[in-house]
Amino acid sequence: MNSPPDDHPHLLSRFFDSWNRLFPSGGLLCLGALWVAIVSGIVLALPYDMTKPYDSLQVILIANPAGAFFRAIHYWSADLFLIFASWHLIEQLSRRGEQEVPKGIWLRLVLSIPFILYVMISGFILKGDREGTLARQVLGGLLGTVPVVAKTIRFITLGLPDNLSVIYLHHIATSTLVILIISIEHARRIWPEWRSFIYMLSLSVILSAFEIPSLHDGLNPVVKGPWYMLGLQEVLHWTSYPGWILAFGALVLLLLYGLPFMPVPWSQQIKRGMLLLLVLYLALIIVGWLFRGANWQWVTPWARP
Amino acid sequence: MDHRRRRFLRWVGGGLLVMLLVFFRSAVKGHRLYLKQQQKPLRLPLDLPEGLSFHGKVIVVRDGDEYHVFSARCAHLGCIVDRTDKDTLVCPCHGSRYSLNGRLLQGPATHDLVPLRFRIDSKENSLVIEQPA
Repeated sequence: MNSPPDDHPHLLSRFFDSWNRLFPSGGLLCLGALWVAIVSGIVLALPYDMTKPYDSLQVILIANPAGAFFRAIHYWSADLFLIFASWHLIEQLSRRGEQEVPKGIWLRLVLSIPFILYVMISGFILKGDREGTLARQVLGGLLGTVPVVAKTIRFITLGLPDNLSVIYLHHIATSTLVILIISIEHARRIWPEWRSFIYMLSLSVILSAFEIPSLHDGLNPVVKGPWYMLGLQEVLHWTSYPGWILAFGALVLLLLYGLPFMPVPWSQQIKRGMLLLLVLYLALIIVGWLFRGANWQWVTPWARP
Repeated sequence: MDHRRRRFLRWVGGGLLVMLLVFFRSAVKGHRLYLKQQQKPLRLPLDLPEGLSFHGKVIVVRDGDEYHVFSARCAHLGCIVDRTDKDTLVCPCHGSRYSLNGRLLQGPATHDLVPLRFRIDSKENSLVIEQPA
């Protein structure tokens, strides 16, 4: 997995080199975060009731401090997993790491991206609160734009309209197993490096001490998806044809997969384009977080009640 | 010989996979049809308040003895429209706006809220509404 260093390492490579001298690499941290999320998820599954998700989480938050703490660790470690998975991808692309990965493994890594996004959004939906319910509606609406097989895909990924069992199954089993298997195949290790695991666990615990993620009570008129989807929510506000978003996402995955097969100058240009897109997306997340209020109307942060 | 056998097995494997996918899709379609047949219509009392009222995935507008019923699912991506803002129905997810009788006023949605079929059951004094999909 270690690609030969560039003759002229650019800014990103220098940044990652500096980081890796002090801390474990993004890939190891990502695996560490994944295992923290899995272990905390197993603990959380015990009091969680998928037939009454909102009620069972309310009980955990109100009457079960240890349960609430594990829920918070699960939430933060999942976010850290997403962040360091993205970090790792950027690092490897900046070093042309995609050239070093066997083609079959590269294909599975690219295909794991939709599974990672699904496992994250399904966790959000499984809160069973107003935001989770609406997120499910939006995801169902987006999947409904897939030509020919929309209803089949929607049914397989989301199940029955008022039932979370399929989503729960895919969250705790299908997607998690797929991500774990692909990670293990790629990293060539099952267990995380102990340092990475401790760092991710510690960071999750510290973040949990500052903020226990709450539930949306249905009274607050502001409804937002998870932070990493706010950019998408902003884009969806502007487009009447959401199917193009899915098509664009598929194109990005296709280009990502095609990088090792392209001449280097082309792949470098495409990577620069993807990096620019990522920066734009992060800007949209900030817009959605700070400048959107009830009914996704524009508000300035200082004008909020 | 080995190469020919491998190619043959690949073709057979690919064919089996396609067949499995076709059967799987049929199975899912069959189950969805079964579930649709099991779906019961929504019953609401006739003495609803005048004006607009929200009932899950359904919006009812009562004007005396006249009723207008439409789906509360936003025409954009299906978010449930369950509140009003400045005398318009507004989608909480992406801000689409509709008039109080379901007509689109502002996107990103591209069409009105879907009207739903209903009938009045005088015996049970209720409004019987075909549930949206």
